Amino acid sequence: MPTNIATPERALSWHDGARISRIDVWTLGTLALAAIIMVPLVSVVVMALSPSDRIWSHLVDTVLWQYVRVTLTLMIGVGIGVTVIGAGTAWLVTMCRFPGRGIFNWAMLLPLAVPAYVLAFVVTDQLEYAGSVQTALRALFGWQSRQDYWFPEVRSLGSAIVVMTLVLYPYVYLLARAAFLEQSVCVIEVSRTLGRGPWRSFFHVALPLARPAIVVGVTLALMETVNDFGTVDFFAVNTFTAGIYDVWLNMNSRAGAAQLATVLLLFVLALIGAERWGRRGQRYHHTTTKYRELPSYRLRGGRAALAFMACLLPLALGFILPAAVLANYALSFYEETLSKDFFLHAVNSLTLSAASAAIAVAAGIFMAYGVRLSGGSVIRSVTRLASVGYAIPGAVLAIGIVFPLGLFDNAVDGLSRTLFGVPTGLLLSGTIAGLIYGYLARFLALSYGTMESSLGKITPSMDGASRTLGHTPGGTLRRVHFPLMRGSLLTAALLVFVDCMKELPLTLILRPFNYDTLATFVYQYASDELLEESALGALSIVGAGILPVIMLSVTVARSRPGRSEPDAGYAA
Amino acid sequence: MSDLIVRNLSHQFDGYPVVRDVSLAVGPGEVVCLLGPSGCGKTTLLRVAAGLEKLQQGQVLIDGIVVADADRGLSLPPEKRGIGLMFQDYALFPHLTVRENIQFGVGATTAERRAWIDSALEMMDLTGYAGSFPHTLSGGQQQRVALLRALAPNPRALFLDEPFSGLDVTRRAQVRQQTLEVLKNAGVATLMVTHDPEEAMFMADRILVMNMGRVVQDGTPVETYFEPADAFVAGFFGPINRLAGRVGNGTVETPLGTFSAERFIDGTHVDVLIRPEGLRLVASEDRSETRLFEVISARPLGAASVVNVSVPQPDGANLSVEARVPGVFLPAPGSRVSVSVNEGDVHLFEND
Repeated sequence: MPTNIATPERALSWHDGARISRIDVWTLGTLALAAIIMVPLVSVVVMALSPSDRIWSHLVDTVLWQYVRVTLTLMIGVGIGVTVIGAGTAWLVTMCRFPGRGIFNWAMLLPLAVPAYVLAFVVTDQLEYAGSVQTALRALFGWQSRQDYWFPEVRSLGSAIVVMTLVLYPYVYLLARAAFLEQSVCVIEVSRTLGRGPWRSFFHVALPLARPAIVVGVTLALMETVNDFGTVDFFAVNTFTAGIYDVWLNMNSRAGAAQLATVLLLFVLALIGAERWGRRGQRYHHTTTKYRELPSYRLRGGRAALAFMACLLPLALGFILPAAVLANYALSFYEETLSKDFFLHAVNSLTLSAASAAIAVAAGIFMAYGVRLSGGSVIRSVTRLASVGYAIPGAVLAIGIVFPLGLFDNAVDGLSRTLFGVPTGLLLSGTIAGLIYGYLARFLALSYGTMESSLGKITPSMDGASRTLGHTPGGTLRRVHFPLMRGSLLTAALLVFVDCMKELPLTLILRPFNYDTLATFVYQYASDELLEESALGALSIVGAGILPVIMLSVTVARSRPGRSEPDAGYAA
Repeated sequence: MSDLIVRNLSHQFDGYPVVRDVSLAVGPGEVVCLLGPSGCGKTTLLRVAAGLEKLQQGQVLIDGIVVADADRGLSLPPEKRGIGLMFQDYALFPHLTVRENIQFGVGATTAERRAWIDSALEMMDLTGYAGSFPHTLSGGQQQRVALLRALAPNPRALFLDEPFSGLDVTRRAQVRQQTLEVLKNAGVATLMVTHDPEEAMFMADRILVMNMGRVVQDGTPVETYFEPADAFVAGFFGPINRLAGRVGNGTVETPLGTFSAERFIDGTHVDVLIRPEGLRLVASEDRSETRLFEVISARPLGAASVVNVSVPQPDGANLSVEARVPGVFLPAPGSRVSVSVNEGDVHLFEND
């Protein structure tokens, strides 16, 4: 039977919205969201390029090179520190057998729950002249005063490096551990049969294979390093981030701050480049899919003790000691803390973080689904660009937000005055909405990344099946994707929630007048040497931070060679 | 009156043409197979017709209604086309039970639809599994659930994308039979994509063989198998022996015999294609007046035997020719057999 093409057709069905060229609400919405997120970055650059009264040459003459030198020193120091501790402990825990290994396996992640500024406060509290360490030393040796002995300066660049290394090494640990686990046993066994011992196998085979993962971990740690404000401010270390605040708030030059921010952006772009390079390398390093129980070097005696100490030391300094000190203070001083509006700050933190998390998750899934629906390369690159927000230091974002919010408020105010004769004043600047906008600009990438990888695990034929069964894209998202992604939705919400709880620099600048969160409360009291009275607040932040660490730990503890590891993006 | 019509459909990916000017029609209750190697554009054609890929060129009509027309900039989204699509990986919703999966596309669950689902479950031997989740089912059961889910909304056209490729060979025959019964019962216009000629011949009322984005033959299974339109189609339906020859005096001479070639002008170079079952072998001690060839190997397949013989070519080289002989016929390698050819199994195509 020949194909009968000339069949008479019924009346055409001109259906609304059936046009091919129609731009749908998903594409439009995704691009709009990406644009909103991009505004701060664009406005920083615009501000930096706008003419200003010789502030740039002034900065070059005075502080710029100091900022460059200090920031680079800090980055190099932290980079070396987290690489050695993170990769070293990851190797010990995955490849060796020694007492306590099972616990270290997940516990090494715990310092991730401690914000750097909290550790800085605790360290200073313990090590300064009146602190417990120097007091004990004086009692022990009978010294009377400062002149009798030498003690390193606590508030210094060196301390900043140590503090940040201690709380940021888990990024490297997590990724290096995953990389070591994913390495084929055969590769390492081949190396050993070819006559290389455990140490040489580590340096010649395992480490080079894990290098891309370690690079990703180090860049994540360094992004946090340049973002940090609390620690460097407290230690009076002149990094770019500290400098941006100084130029902006003390020298009152927004253009100068924007110019510093733009230079800092170059640092960040280099980090993003390194991170991308590392991730790309990761893909090619899976040489085989065969896995067995990893060989284990059973350590005994002195070696076992050394391995034990190597893991215990960073864990103790990065988590156990600060948590213990804070818990001790919190127990003794909780009444003072509670009398200082602690609950108000806690409620502020909780509602603010919860609202931001909810919005970030909603926006994240909208964007990820928009990209999935359109599949176009333009929308893909735009959203990728928008998701660099996580790498941008809070100080940079803050400048980029204050400026456009002010423009917006002035425009609305002017319009309202001319049209209705009613001033609207500041609608967004210095409001909760402005602060949430800042959180979104920084943390949307977290939820977007989680949503994207979770959606990616759902085969596109699910979408096709639902669509051909009569459901719209929105209905498909609600009825098919949401139920399948429930776990990831929670993960994304939790990650954003905790990061908002910890976030200090953005909150300090964008918060409404007289509005405090736990983070700003702790920062202000601890800066005034009143750590005891804010210990409960600091402990609460650490407690919230433990939630995602537990989540990661469970995944880590359950993971076996050959099983998939948690996506690196989850940890970011 | 056809239920699914595709007119002059072309499609490109990144400027590379995947489907080139394809037209087809599927009548009510008819099963049409798109058959071709992977990358021939058959799945793309199906996805465009279903609305999962944006139409670039051409026209799609379902039940007499234009659902997509590139010239008028018209394209209904898949959910408005009233179609069913069964995916190669079944795409059952893992968070829904078998019954919930099947009801997914049914707007209002009327008593009539519920009765249909119940009887369909029974017919597919799935009655006890209505409350089970997909991952607890076997591959064959999942396949049947996916088919019922696509049929439950009573679609005007049904698309099947490699519906049996996920099943192991022993289950396929049974599931095919069951599927065919359900399709014929439903009376729905069905367009099925497959790369397996045997499957296509079993399922289809008509087969459209596709190659490089084009439909190269449109015919019944018997036509496509016994009257292939070109060398590609002939070769696609199974192993085939290929000899070269040149037409002279309306015939073509080959080492295996001389065949009528009246369609071709004298001097044309032609491919002479002979299916393995078109060769008859007789052990040589019987007679010696026909051509004798040396046996290279002989292997039993059960119902038939495969024998390879060495055929000297005009240029001096030896060609291994495969014959498929019913029953057990296993001459020793090195022995000689006579070969005769069933003229009906010989296909001649111009060699270009």
